[in-house]
Amino acid sequence: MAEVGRGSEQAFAELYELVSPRVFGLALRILRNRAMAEEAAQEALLDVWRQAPRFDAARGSALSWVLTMAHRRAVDHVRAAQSSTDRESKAAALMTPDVPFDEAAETTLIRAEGEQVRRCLTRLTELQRQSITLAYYSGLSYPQVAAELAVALPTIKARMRDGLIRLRDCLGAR
Amino acid sequence: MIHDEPHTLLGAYVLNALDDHERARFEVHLGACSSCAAEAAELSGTAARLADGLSAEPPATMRASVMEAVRATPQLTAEDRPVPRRPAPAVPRPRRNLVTLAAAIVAVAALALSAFVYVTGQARVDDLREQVDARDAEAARVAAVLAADDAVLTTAPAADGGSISVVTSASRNAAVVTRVGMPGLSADQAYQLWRDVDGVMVSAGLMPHVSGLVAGIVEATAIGLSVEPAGGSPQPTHAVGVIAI
Repeated sequence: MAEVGRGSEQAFAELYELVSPRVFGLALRILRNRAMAEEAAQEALLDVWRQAPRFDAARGSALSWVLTMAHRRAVDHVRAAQSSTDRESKAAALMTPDVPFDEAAETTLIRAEGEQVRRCLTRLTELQRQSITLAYYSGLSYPQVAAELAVALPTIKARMRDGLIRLRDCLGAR
Repeated sequence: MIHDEPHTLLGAYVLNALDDHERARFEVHLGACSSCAAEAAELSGTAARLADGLSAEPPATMRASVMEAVRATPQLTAEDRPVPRRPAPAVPRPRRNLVTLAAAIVAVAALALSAFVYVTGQARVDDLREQVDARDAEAARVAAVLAADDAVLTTAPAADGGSISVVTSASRNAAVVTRVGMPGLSADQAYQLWRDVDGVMVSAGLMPHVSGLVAGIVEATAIGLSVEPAGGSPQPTHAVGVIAI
């Protein structure tokens, strides 16, 4: 990552091999449409390149930094598709996913690696778990999560935060 | 110091569940609260674990497009400061430069805002909110001009050094003017924008930031930039550049 931050395209090519399936897999899970996931993944990887000089290893692992950017880009696409009136094709693409939900959720999941986080999710309260998963995996905003679950906005905000704290404690230091 | 209201948004922020507006506001808060920033960084790591096990082979063509984009895209600098862009040498420019310019303008606007936040402190949250709203509205208008299909970039050298970039869009009836590498002014001076309407220079307002928006360009034949006493003048007294549009 340090090499990438110094502008090495060679190092970026190596990083690409390591992280691109993770970035694309996350985007596909959220967008459930291969063309949109590809677009979001490309944007995220370009963000990684542009912002690499600012990566600070003291603030977390390179992988989690990359995945944070990938998540943001994928969610941007969810929002854009929801709000666009002039880009109906995009909205239509989101509404007619070309990857079935179960497939995106299950067959792309390497069970062993996801096991700990899935186990920890079951230790949350139902509301914490739903608040977090609807936001993270479906790209819903917190008012949308509140509407979906018919719960007050301040409650959702609080459950997202205390749910993440409980998740952090369950996952342990990494 | 914990500021209760914004702090409750931390979980939603980390999960990208805020809209752009709330997000910008929350990031201002993070800039002023180091314990909040530390918690946000830590919980971002936790949130990223939710992607554990998700993996899918990307389309075979993706690698080539990403690598091509990487070769064409400069990296940001390590420090949190916008990079002064090279003056544009020629008139016809590919669209990517407009996007780069837009990113630079947004970065500078954000920086100007955070400096503002720093001086006012916590006392004037409502004022700050208005500033954020106004900046968001301006940024949206700037972005609309830069993204317009008929956007045209023109660059001219400025009289006192540096250059002036003007992006015009007839369909948006507005121009975005950016000072590139021009000297800073003393506190008793200000940059002022002008429109040339039928041979008369009409003020388009002061230009406190490196970029400014000039509306109503359809009836104008040129855009001007001048240095004036703080507060501006009714007519330009020291023009530094006039760009025909």
